[in-house]
Amino acid sequence: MTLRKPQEAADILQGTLDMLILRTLVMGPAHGHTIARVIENGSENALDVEQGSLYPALHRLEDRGMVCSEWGVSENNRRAKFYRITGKGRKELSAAAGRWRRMTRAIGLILGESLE
Amino acid sequence: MGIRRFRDRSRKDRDLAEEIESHLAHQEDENAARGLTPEEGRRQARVRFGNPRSTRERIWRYRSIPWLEDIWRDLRFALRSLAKTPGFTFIAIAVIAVGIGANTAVFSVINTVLLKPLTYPNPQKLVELRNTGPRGSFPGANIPKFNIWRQQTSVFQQVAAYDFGGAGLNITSSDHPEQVQ
Repeated sequence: MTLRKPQEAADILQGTLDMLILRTLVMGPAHGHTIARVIENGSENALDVEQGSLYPALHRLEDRGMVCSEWGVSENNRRAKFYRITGKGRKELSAAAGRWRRMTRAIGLILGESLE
Repeated sequence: MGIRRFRDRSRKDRDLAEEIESHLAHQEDENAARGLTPEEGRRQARVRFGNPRSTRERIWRYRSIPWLEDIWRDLRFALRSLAKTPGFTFIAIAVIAVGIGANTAVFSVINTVLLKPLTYPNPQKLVELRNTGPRGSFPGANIPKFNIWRQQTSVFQQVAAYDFGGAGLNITSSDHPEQVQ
């Protein structure tokens, strides 16, 4: 199923997909396909959104009130379900982003300069 | 997240199916724009997405409480099986009913006879006097013997007797003797 998977594309770390989805939606409502496309292109194809996890993640976020959804018409003139970030989602995003930055900084400190 | 997660599963699942269709259609559009034939575009869109059914199952499972559903399913299966064999059902219910009834009856006897304390103060100090001789031991005494027991006791606070099926006792303390049963 990863025929077109770009080389060196990494699976998204467990737990960070929610954060990336929320970040994508800050730019405006979007449907699932756009969200996946934006994450993949935005990471210069370094991240591969597994479609099998994208929709479960979206539905989880909706149940938790982080996003809301409604059916609409997409740019391709097709019916699509658009997700919009809620106030609660924005709050969660800034908290998650803060946690992530602290953690990557800490890990970076320990790894230090590239050994070589 | 609370209860919202478990509500409206069927509607949400239909919604998701349509959503996946929409996703595949968009991927096909994109593949067509890259110059693939419609057929190849369709194929690649599906290959890339993976199995839509397993995605739907994954979300369905996330919206379920497995042990509760197992119990519910077992319960419905049991009721269906019982409805299919009324004779067996009747006998099974009758056996259980009789069993519970017999148990209750036996227990209520045991309870009053053995478990519940006597309704006298200090029931542990209550003893029965018996006659013991070469021919065995037996309870009971005639009136004179009872009077002797009553008068000569040094270890008991009080000696009392009860009478069943005899002539009854006379109360003689007042002017008019009276027979009591």
